[in-house]
Amino acid sequence: MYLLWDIRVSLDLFLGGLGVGAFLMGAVLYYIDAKIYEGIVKKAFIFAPLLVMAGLVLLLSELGRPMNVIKTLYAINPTSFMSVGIFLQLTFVALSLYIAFSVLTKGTVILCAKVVYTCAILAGLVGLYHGFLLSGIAREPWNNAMPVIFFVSSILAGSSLILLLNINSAEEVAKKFKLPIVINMVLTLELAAIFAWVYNLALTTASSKHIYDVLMSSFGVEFWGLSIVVGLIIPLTLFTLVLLGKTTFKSVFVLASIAIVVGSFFLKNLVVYLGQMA
Amino acid sequence: MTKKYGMIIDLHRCVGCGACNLACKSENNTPVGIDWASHKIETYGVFPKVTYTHTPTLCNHCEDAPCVRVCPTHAMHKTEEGFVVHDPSICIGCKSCMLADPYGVIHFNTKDAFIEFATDTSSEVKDGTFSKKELSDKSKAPFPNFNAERGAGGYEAIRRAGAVEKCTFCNHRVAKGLAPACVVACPADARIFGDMNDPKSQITKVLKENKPTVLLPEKGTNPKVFYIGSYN
Repeated sequence: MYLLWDIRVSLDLFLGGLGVGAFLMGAVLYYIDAKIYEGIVKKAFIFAPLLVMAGLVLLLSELGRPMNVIKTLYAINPTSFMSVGIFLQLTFVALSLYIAFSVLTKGTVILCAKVVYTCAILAGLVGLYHGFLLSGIAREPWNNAMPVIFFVSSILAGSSLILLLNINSAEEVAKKFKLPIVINMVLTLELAAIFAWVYNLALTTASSKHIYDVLMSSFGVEFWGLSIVVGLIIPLTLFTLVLLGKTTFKSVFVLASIAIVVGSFFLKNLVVYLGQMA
Repeated sequence: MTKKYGMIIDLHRCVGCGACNLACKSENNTPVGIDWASHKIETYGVFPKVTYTHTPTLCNHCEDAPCVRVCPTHAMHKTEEGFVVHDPSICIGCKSCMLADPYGVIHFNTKDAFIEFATDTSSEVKDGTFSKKELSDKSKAPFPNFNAERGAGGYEAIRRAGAVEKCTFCNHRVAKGLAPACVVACPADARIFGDMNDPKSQITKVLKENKPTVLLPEKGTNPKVFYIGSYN
């Protein structure tokens, strides 16, 4: 099948989501105590713009006329999510690069809280934009559940990546903020959003029902196996075992975090692919 | 009152000859694989009672065009006359319009159209037949059937790689008071083109006298290509 949007678009949404999630995790810890969590905050603020930019480079390589992207700065279409999203992403990248540079040269304490706050809002908007980009095109599989699914997946994957990059301090953060409970709540929210998406597909129009059948019959491994079981059920189970005292956070969080990141990619890739089959 | 152009295709008159498609290709310099005017064939029934329909298709120049809504640069836009047209000079090649278009009538140029007429020097019979490049050189045109008129108004007469293209209702011809090439070429006069805001125009009268249908009405795009009659 000829794909109009190939894997580079999925990777842009995935890497962009990782960046957004990482920045939001860093921003939360920055506001709680920038000194105590300096190591985590630093890594989060440095990796965030790099990940988003890596995604944008991949996206540019997928465009037919990438040099014309500069024209999106003056030829604005307010009804196009992509047109609005370009501004959001450019502003986020510029501001987060400034923050990353400041963090690298002067540390986290010197950072202006208002700048971090503004950038966190932009990160949230970019995270939502990834889903709105698809739902705005209005193909059956890209329904209104997309913004929630993509945003929650981005937060989960981005914060998991930051935990993985801070293995030594992850347990301390987990204890202080009862991370297994928090992560399980967000995982459940993601499961609910995916359930709403699939339920909507199965019940609405003839073509959405067809897509539901395709999803269940041809993409069972990608959907049930990689997106749901690996990306959501395994981490949910592992963190539940931690809460029940059957195991420790330290012994499961690496596996759970990797599963969340991997699952996030496969879910986003599947959604991008499925939308083009409608 | 501003003009609002539309087209009627009489399916009872259409014989499915494909003259519209060929005329469109000649007029708009579209390469192999890209057909602004095309058709869809659907088969129905259970053997031995089977039948099929042949429906000519083209851009519907929708009132509420999804391709215009999603285009990030306004490259895909509506003109005052209601034509949905594309400006390749500001197209970024994101293909959002193709994904939003429910009719599948927007095409993407993966390579420069007719580039082989500038590069291919091979001939079927050596010293016996012209190569594509020789044909292009002899005809002093990018390719032998090149229509320079398509480049009116700054539009790329031959679209380069990386942008999309689609039917424009032959807006370059309409600007000169001519009908679109597909309308002129139809041997059965199955196509009627005109201003739907003009109560005296043929299209307005025919629309009143018939119960026209449109493709995918459930999409709510308000197409301006109408179908009357039945193929069978």
